[in-house]
Amino acid sequence: MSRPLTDLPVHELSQLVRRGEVKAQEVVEAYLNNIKEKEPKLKAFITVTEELARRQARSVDEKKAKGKLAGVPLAIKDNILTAGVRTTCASRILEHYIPPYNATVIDKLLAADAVIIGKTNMDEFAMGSSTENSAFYPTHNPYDEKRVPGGSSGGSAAAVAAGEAAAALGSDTGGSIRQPAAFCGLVGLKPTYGRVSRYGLVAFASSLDQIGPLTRSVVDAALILEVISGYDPKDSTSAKEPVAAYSQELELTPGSLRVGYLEESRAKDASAEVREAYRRVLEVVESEGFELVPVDFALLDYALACYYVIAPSEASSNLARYDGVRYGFRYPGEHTLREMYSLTRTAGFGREVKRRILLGTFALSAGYYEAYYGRARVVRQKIGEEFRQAFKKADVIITPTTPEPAFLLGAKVDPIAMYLSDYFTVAVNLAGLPAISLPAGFTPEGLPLGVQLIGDAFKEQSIFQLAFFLEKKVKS
Amino acid sequence: MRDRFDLEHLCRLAHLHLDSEEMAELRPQLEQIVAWVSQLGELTIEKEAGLTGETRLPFRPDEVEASLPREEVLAAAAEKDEAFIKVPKVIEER
Repeated sequence: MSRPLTDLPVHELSQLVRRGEVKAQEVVEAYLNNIKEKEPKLKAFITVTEELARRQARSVDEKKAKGKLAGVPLAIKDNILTAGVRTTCASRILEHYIPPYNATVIDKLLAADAVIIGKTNMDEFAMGSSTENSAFYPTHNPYDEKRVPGGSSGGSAAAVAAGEAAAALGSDTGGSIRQPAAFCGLVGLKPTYGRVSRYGLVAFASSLDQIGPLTRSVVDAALILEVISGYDPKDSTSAKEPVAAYSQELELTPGSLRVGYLEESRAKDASAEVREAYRRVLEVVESEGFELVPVDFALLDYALACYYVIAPSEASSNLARYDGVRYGFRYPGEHTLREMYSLTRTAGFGREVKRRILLGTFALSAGYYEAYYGRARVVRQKIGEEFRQAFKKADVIITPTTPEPAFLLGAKVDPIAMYLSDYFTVAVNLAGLPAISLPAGFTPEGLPLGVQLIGDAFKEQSIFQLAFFLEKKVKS
Repeated sequence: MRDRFDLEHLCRLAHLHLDSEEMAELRPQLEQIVAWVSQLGELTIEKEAGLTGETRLPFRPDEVEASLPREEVLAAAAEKDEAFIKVPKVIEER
């Protein structure tokens, strides 16, 4: 074979395994070798599940598995529960937590004969945009080790970009799949709210969180979404909407979609390289005969502020469960119950998590609730309304994914500067829509850039089709 | 919108105990973030806009299903005593 196994896309790899032309065990060994070689510098993983992966691969080979992901080694963000495998959320408070059950997405991946190769690093409880908020260590960007891989699914992105996993799952609350995908030259999809079950995803902000794939190609993202989507009685927010054969219907007639774009003024805060890449993509779209329609997002500037009220409010409530009683770390020693709660949480949570819990506690507290949380909910509704208006004129909307390419480790010490990384992505979560980040070339220094394709609710197929069409044309 | 707040009070509500160094770091940051999100107050939104179409989640059928095995659940607890999770004394002595 000419190409190394670790270079093959997911759909080809699984086909070779299904046909018995390649053994799942060979595939796993090839990936484990890559991990051994690259992990000391990258630190993309918190736990490498070497033995589990070998066992699963052996079973795939023995039963001559025919699943859609047969023998494909996947990396899983460490906020997705894996039975018997430590799941930390990159937090001291869950450092030794071993869940007794699988998230629904894990059961679905295993039913499709995938192999779990490890649990990836992230910003603690998915709060961050650089993976520097991990309680353990930061992850490095495979394109430039002095730079961040993005976040919060930064470990997943780095692992896939470096060939340590064939693809990965991440979670996206405000851009946490799409931003690291853009920083690491990958495809990253945040599905429609309700498309994928979140049973077993450690909750951060429940009205925003979604699980999605990070992959090296659009077809691989479509294939994985096909496997993990669908209604789940264990997640009452999951939708009964039928699951399409996303990866089978990627062909598109050029010009058949109306494509919305942001006017120059809305993208003004993006770096020159990002604006240039965005402009190039729009040129391709136009030259291929698609109708380009300007869309106005008057509220885009307010989406971040809205998000930083809603998400911390929900987080402050969701993270109340970490009390040192039923699971996770407990502060040692003789204390009263209240002291134990407080000592446990103070020692167990990192700075950013504390910041957000306190911010959320403030926004929900008596006397401030209406002015902050109440106000943010109204603004959120208006943002949804702006998208509804935009989707009357356009089928897909293209924006940059991030305001800039991957930044240097340690470059953003001011929390608000870090929050601005999600300028183009948070509105999509607030509106519950699907969006994909697609590689859109490189900066002169060789750093990857991305554009974001946003679709209307449950129209994943449209964004996959346009992304698949553009993929070959905008890569270099 | 008011943008000052009582950090000690919030810490009590959130069961967090910050030392003076953390207080000194977090207080100005939180004040800055709150001032920043207060821009939401600048927006003019028509009164009638209000909240529409709020989602109501369906309940699942109330059917008894097997729960997780007790040993597996207890394995995750910090302190346990046979079949129970142990917590510090709830009633404090005076």
